[in-house]
Amino acid sequence: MAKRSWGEAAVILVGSVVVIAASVVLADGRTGTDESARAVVEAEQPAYVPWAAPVRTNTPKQERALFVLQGGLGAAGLAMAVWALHRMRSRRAPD
Amino acid sequence: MHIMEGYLPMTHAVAWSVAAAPFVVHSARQLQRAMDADPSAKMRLAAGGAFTLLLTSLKIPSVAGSSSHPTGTGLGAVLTGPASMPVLAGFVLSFQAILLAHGGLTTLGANLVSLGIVGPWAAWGTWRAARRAGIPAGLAIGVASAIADLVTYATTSLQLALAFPQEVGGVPAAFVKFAAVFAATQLPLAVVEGVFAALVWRALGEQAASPMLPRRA
Repeated sequence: MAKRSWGEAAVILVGSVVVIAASVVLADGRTGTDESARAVVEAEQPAYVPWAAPVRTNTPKQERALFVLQGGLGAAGLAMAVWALHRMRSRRAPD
Repeated sequence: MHIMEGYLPMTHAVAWSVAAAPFVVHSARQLQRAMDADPSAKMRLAAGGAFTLLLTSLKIPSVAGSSSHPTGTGLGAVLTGPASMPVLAGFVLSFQAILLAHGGLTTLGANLVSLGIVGPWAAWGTWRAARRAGIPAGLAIGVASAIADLVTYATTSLQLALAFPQEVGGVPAAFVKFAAVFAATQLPLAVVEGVFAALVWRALGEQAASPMLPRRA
């Protein structure tokens, strides 16, 4: 059971890293739908002036790095939770 | 699903924030109750929150030439109950608004309503209906996650349409316009999200069957 805990967590972690890397490479240069929606607002309501600006602006490189950081935190948290849940289950199971 | 910083009129931004606030307060209480009642709840909450953090970090390309994010809230809603999702989604949205300039603090309430409230409840309703119909758990979680994704983006489209109705056709015409922007990317993405959720559900094993949830309707 302990081996299965590590195995499931490792699969989650490795799989997530692969998906994050693929996402960074494949989506590079493509326009996000959030930006497309903003473009619709600007085209349909040219008089509208946004009344707030983002707290910070990132270069594309910084943005990619921060998305990878976010994905890495999520992947690590998910792998840890899967590992812990399997461990809890194995401790409850009769010997 | 992110409405950009400043891209909702102030009255709309305030109204959506006021609408989201009671759900966030209830969510915090719900999280505390769940953790008190069941020792494994913390780890299920961690799994649900981490899955949302992971999936919203992914920019998935589509055949339409654009890219978009999955939402990841469907799995969390089924793991921990939809009432617990506003706090988890709020954490993710705040991270992205402050560090990534995706979404925004002025649009946090509106984004929270779509990602943290409407999407998770849609997932929960779909999950319960699917299980009652005898659909296997893996397929049910996949469908519930895909529905949560689509409903989240439909809500965003409605929020934008209410803020920026078209001169001809009003809110419905604007809704169609915004929904069309998201649809080409989001429809295939919803399927991808459903597959991811089903895989993680499988990895979670029996622990995924929370005491808070109907094991078999």
